[in-house]
Order: sequence, then C-alpha cells, then structure tokens
Amino acid sequence: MTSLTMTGVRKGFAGVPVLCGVDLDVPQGSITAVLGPSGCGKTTLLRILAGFLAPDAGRIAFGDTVVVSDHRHVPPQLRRVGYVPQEGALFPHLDVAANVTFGLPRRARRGDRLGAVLDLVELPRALAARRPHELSGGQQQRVALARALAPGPAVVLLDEPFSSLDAGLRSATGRAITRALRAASATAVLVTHDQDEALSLADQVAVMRDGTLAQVARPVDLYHAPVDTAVATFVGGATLLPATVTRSGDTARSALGELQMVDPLPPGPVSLLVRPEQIELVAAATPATNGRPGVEPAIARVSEVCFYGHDAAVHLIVAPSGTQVVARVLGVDPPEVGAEVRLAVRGCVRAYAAS
Amino acid sequence: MSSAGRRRRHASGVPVLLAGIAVAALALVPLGFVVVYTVAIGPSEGWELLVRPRIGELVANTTKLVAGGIALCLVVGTGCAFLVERTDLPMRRVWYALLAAPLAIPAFVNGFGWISLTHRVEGFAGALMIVTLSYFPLVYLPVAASLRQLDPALEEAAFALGRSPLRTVLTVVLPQLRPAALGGSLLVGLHLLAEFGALQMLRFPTFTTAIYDQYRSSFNGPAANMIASVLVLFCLVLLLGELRLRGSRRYARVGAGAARSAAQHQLGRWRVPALLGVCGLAVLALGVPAYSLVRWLVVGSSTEFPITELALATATSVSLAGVAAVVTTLLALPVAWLAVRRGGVVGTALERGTYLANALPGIVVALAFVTVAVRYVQPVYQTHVLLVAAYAVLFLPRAVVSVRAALEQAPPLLEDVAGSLGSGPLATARRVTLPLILPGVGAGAALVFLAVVTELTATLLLSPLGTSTLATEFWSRTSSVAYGAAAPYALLMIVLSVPATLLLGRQLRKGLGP
Repeated sequence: MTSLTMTGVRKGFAGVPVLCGVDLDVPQGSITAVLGPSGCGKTTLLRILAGFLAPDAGRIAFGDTVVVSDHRHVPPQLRRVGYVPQEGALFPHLDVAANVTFGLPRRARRGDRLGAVLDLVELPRALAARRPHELSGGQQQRVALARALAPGPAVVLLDEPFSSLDAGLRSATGRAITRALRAASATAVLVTHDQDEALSLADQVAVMRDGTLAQVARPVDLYHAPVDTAVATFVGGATLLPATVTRSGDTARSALGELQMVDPLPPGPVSLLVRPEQIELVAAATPATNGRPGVEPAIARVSEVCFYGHDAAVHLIVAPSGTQVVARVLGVDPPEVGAEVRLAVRGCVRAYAAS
Repeated sequence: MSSAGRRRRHASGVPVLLAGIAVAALALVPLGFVVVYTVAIGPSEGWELLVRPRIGELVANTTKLVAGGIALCLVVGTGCAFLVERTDLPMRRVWYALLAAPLAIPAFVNGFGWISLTHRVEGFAGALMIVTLSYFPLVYLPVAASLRQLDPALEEAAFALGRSPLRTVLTVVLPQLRPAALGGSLLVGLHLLAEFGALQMLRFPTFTTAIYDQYRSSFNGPAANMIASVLVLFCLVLLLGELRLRGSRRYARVGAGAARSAAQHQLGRWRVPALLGVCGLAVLALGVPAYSLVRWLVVGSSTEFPITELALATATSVSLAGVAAVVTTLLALPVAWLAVRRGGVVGTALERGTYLANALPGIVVALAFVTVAVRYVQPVYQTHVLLVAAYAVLFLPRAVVSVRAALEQAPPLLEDVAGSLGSGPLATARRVTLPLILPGVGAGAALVFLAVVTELTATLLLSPLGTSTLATEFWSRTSSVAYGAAAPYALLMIVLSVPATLLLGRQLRKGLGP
C-alpha cells in the first residue's frame, strides 16, 4: 500500500467543466471519504483515479509512481487499483471463488489467498462455491471488496459501495468493510453522498462542491470547524443565526442572547453556526440559575417534535423575533408541542461573515 | 459519468460503425428496390397496372384477412392469456405450454393438415380460421407475460376505490395490456401479409400469393413488382398504425419493491365452458394437423419413405440453415453492439433499419434479391450465396434481438472492473465479455437456424436449380396432391422447429421484439 497524491486534476465533458482543479493527499494506510451531493463530480474523480477516464490536466501519483501526468496515462490494468463499484458488479458467470481470485496470476488462484481474503472481509469460506445471485446485497459488497483486495492493490477505490443496501445492512456492512480495509492497512478512497457514512467511517473527509474540494479535514474538525456556512449546513444539522459582534469582539448578540464566539472578530453583522446538540432546553418555569451572569436566556415555543427513540429533534420558535432553531435532546423526556421553554447555548459558537 | 467513459472507449469504434452501416444497407436492399422501382415505372404506367378488377379483389381479400385475423387473434390470444394467468382454470401449467405449441407448426403445414382432410376449408372462412389457429400465440404469449408482470396492487387499489371486479378488468387491467396486445397484433398482421403457403393451399388469393403467381407466369414482370409495392405500403401502414396507437404513454411500474403475484379470479360456473373452450382450441390448432399428419404417414395410399431423398433434403436444409445462422449472427454483432454500447441516433437508426426488413414479406425480399442479382450481380444469381443473403436479411432481427439482450447482460462496468484487476482488453474479452454473451448469441443463431428450416416463400424463389430442401420438397408434393408423400417432410420440419418454438416463446414472454 502506498500514499496517493493528486494535484490540479481537471476534467470537462463536451466543454462543461466537471472537475476544476482538485488537490488531494491520502496518507498511506488511511481512508479518505469524498463527500458531495450527486452530480458534483465525485464519481468522475474516482474513475480518473482508476484509469477509466483520462483527466484533461493534472498529476496523480501512487507513492513515488506517477500514474497520470501531462505525458503519461497508465492504463487501469497496470495501476494496481482495487475498484469496488456501486452494486458490487460481481461477474455473474463466475462463483465467489473465481470472482475473488480473478485478479490473481493463474498459479496463485488455487492457493490460500482466497481463504485469507474471505476471512478479511468476515465471510465464511463455505460461501466460495456460491454464485453471486445466491448472495445477499451485503455479502455481494463484501465479495466485491475481497476481489479488489486479493491482488494486493496499491489503492482501493470504493464508489458509493453501500448506497444500494437498506439502512440496517448499510451501517453493519460499512463497519465490516472499514475493518477489513484497516486490517489490510489499505489506502482507500470512498465516494459517498451520505454524511453519516463519511464522518463515521473515514480518517479524512474531503467535501466536494462544484468540481473542487471545499474542505479536507478529519471528521471531528470538519464538523466543528467547517470553512464556510455551506459546508456547515451540508455536514450535520445546523442553525445559522444572524447576529452582531459586540464591541468586545469575542461575543455576538443574537435571538438566543449574547453568545461566546470561538475566534474574536471585528464588530459588525455575522452568521453564527449553532449545532442542534449545542442548544439546551430548560422548563420555562425553572429560574435560570446556571446561565452566565449578564446573559438573558431566550424563551421559545416548541413547534414540532421529531422523536427518534434515542433522541429527538425539537423545532423551536424563539420569542419575540420568531427565529426558528432546532435543538437535539435525549429521547428520555422530550418536550410537548406548544410548551414554553428557556434556551441556553452550550459552549462557544463559530461565526462567519454575513453574506 | 459512465456514458462519458463509454464515449472515450468507443471513439476508436470506426470499423464497427462501418460494419454496422454495411449490414443496415444490405437489410435495406428490398425496401430500396421497391421504392426505386415504383419511382422508375412512373405514375401513369403504375396506375394502369394497379387499376384492374383483379387488384381490387386482392386489396379486399388482403384487408379482410389481415383485419379479421388480427381481431380474432386478439380475442383468442387475450382470452387464453387471461384464463391461464388469472383464473383457477384446472391444469394451468399444461394449458400454458399447449397454447404456445401451435408456433411449432408452420402455417403451411397446418393448412396442409386441414385441406388434406376436407376441402370445405377453402376460401375466406377457412383461411381466416387456419391463420388464427397458427398465429394467435403471437398475441397470447406477450399478453400472458404482461399479465404476469402486472402489479396486483393496481387492481387492489381499484377494488379499494369501489370498482367491481369486471369494471376493474376493463378499466385497469386491459389498458395495461395495450402495449403487449398491440405488439402481438403487429406481428400477426405482418405474418398474415407475408403468409404464402397456407393461403395458396386454401385457394384464398392475397397480394403475396398473387406476386408468386405473377412471378411464376411472367418472370420478373412489372406487374409482380408493382403488387409488391402495394404490399409494402400495407406493411408500412401497419407499422405506423402500431406506433401511433402505442403513443408515448408510459406503463412502467411506479415505485420500488418486487411486485407480488396477482390474485386469481374464481371461474365458478364458467369453469366447464372455459375448459371446453381451451380444449377445443387445442384440438383445432394441434389435434387436427397432428391427426392428419399421422393418418397420411400411416394409411395414406401414396405413403412411401424414400430414405435417401428425405436424408438429402434434410441435409440440404440443415446445412443451408447452419450457414445462414452463422452469417446472420455475425452480421447482427456490429448492429447490436452499436445499439447497446454506442446508443444515440446512429446506433438506434441502424438497429431500426434492420428491423424494417423484417416487416417486409419474404416474397418481396426474394423478388428484390432476384431483380438486383439479375441486373447488377449476375454471378451470384442462382447460387446459394444469394439465398443465404436473403435469409440473413429476413431473419436478421431475430439475431439482433438475441445478441442485443446478451450484450445488455455484459455491462461495460464489468469490463472496467476486470481492467482494474489487471486484465488487459483481450483477456477481458476472453474471461468476461465472451462467456457472458455466448448463450444469447447461441440462442440467436438457433432461432435463425430454425426459421430457415421452415422458410418456404423465399426458398421457392431463390434456391438454385436442383437444390431441394424440406420445405420445397414438401411444397412440390402437396402441389401435386401427393399428401402421403408430403407428410414425412412436414413431420421433419415440425421436429426441427420444436426447439425454436421454446426459444421464441421465451423471448416473447420477456417482451422482446419479433
């Protein structure tokens, strides 16, 4: 396994730019998720990495080996990439064993590599004689990964590998596949439009927008320090509050009161990013004793409650401004619709220049 | 993005494109011949050739037969499909197979079966009955397939909205069957326009039999060619009519999830009449020709088993059909490849071009090939090359449909995956693409093989002197009323076409084209 570097990769179709200069570093043995809405160019990026498409410009290297540059385009069969497409795309005329050993040299097909990779993806070896149509969707995906891992590829590319699975199977298969990738210490690029998948499975998330990478960061940093409001709302739930930075420069006044900012800013209008789990609900009757001195808790009315069991999303209308915010509370004791509550904001908030 | 990838990969597909264009050009020779001929002969002479009482009679006969045949096949085919798929008719699996079986008996053999028993089937009524018995499975099979795929939730929704079962069938089920029924009707109509053997035997003249008679009496005369133009016009009217009636409505299933199988209607007191109905149909369509054949084989006074002649005719038929199957499948490959992998206007146009030839009756294709050969490529006239070329044009659509379906089983993604696993283009073709498409390609070749074995019209016109096939031998014996001597040839043709019928039945059930 090697690291992966791409610099300045561009690609257009019939004059329409799809990738407008993509730079990405994937450290050796780590998993990077490319996250973006459909049509943002992430599948094109993956197909360029695999060698199915040639970019118009740019440079791609696996470790020290340059596979794409101005004068060079190594064909897919010489790149040593493992490719796991959306529906698995197992060869329907071959059984599991023949699928998994497809990429091995003839002599190695009968060896013990088959069993070893099946173990790696946590599939029973007894499945080796089955045909693809006799497998469940999750099993097919694991076989597809086993097939990609068997020849010991330099990089593994996964194209929305879980999107065809139903919700329950999706997270279990996702975790099994990342376990297998880590056990093989594989360098992997995973393309997905599912933010939960990207945040929970990857070491690094690259948010793709309009053919460029808007932000590349660890999942925690991406969630807590998005570069702009668009990334903030794309990754996780978010309320953007209009606010004004006070003269001190480290707090801002908003419908939820005066909030502490992460970084000081010059006075003026801003948007504050408040995550739903930052908003605390306190029954209106209880006197707010734990609020910071000088900070008035805001009063709000519950307009809608989406109860999920483990937690609930509470939609609130803040009086008197009518600003709408969403709070995430534990499912133990969600408020009733119509109840009056006091709101407090936990921790500091991040501010963005108002657009 | 995969479409873009496809474009890059097939930018180098110029040879395939040229091959596809060449095949489509060959397939369009008959239509071109008809158009060029009609233009060349000019309006006044053409008018003179056409405005004759004889032509009026042919127009009336052909129209009556096509309209009546389509209507009867629709009623019988849809009725059978409904009984077999949606009611508690006893032994439904047996009936399902038996009602498709008439496809294995060529219409001219069916006609032989009847006429050799009684001459009362001569004329319109008899002809109508016999073509219906031969061709109703062309409606029955696709409609049955459609009924099976129909989402029962639609009917349940209609019930829940307060519709009665009968009104539900009329307002919800029947409209959904429209594409299948229309497609089947088109096939029936085209077969009826092309039908020669059965109608000639039953002495019911239509355009096709008239062209043959003209051709026999005044070889390649302008009259035969002019009638061919009118026949082609009839075919085009049918094709356009089907397109128009089908319209652009969509009947796709909306929503995800697998459809459940449909509820069965209880026949109740209609059980016995329904059973008698399908029984009677099976007796008329299968029993009578089978009985007649066996009778002539066993007790017919002229029965003889000239083993050498039989073997010779069989060998000729089988080798001709074998060569035609290989040639036709090879020609179908570039066309199907372009339609599946290239798509777009060019691919679709080439594919449709080859289908157009299928709409032309065998007699027109044969006439065109005779004329073109005599005028421009004299050396191939009276050779097997010309005969095989005509077979290829006639049966190209069968091969294209099969090869196309096979190619769709081998999506480009699988080739991409093989590439990423280190397999080069040649190895990918050998290890992935070929194994995936071979069964379908083989099925296409088999369909062509078996169609050629029972082909009569083009063979009569184009086979070189001294070449006798099962169909031509059968024909010459029935023409001289040597029924007993004809029977063994008919039997051999039926035996050879049984596998084809099973394959064709499977394709029609899947809702594929002709």
